[in-house]
Amino acid sequence: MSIYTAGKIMKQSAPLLLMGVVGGIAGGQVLNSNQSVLIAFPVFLVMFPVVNALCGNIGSILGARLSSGLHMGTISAKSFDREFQKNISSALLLGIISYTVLTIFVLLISPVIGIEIESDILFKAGYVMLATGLILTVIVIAVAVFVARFSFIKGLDPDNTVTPIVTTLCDVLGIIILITMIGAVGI
Amino acid sequence: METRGVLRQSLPLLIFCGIGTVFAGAVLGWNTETLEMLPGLLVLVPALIGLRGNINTTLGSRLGSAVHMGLISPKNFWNKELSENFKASLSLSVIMSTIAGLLAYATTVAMGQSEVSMLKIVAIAVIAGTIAGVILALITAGIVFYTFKRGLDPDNVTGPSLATFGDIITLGCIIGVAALIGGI
Repeated sequence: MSIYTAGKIMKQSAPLLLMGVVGGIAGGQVLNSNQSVLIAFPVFLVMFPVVNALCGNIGSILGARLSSGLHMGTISAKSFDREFQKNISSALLLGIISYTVLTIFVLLISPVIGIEIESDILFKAGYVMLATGLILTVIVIAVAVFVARFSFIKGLDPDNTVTPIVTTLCDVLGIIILITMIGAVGI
Repeated sequence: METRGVLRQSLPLLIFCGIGTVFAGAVLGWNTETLEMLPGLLVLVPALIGLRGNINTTLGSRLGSAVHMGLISPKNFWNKELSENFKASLSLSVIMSTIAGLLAYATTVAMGQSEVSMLKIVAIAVIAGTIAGVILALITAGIVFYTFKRGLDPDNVTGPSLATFGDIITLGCIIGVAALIGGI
């Protein structure tokens, strides 16, 4: 008799996977209703998976660190002590640095790999990605903190809750904010 | 842990994964004709990318735990524990991709875009989702096997490497299958 059985794995995974699919389809609908601007300026098609993935990774790293801290008792679920603040400022810095580096990378590499960016939208496109990234970083930090603390207080293991929730959230919100910013800069 | 330590350990990996994802996005950017040819295809993209990431990172972390517990080892690798894990991941891939395809079709029609083909959208979701699922399950097992044999901890390697390859392979499969089906 094996320890792992396909049925048990599937039963435990299905609800969260389903939540992810529903979130993904919602994000997909926002992309689809803005298909014309995305096809006219394909650089934004290059940007959206990057924006979503980074946000999900930052939220997951913070979530895992908060979970370990809460489990070990080095972080309290109720106060905003120094250990807690250090985790928040690390996540914030990770977001600022990685979104800045990757925005520059996207703008530099796109023409090289055949994704055209008209020179008059170059700065606007960079601004869209960076602004979206920074807004998302702040939101994902707030959500990761809330979900980690709430789960812990309710007796759930935050290791199982934070990652699926923040990655789904980033898929939907990342796309909504990106599309909103594209409209805001007048593209 | 001090802020500097967190940055030093996480930042290189975040940037490396981000660069991988830029190329995944480029697969979309290069294939705007395919997107135009198949209305509703774009709806599927975030759901399938997310699904692949979730199914394979959990497979990776389960296999990581399994080698740590000694349930599978380089000498006893292709056994029942591995096959049950594979069976679960692949069944989930097929089921969830089908649901994603049906939801993509239904919501797109509900949004007023009636020229969507249900058959094509569901077929693309299932075929692309399954092919990407098989490729990534094999890569996951390969990474776990190789890292463990080398004395490394698979838990530190599977997550970030799957995050990087997963997006590129999934988008490649979606666009590849869509280009084939769209032409029919």
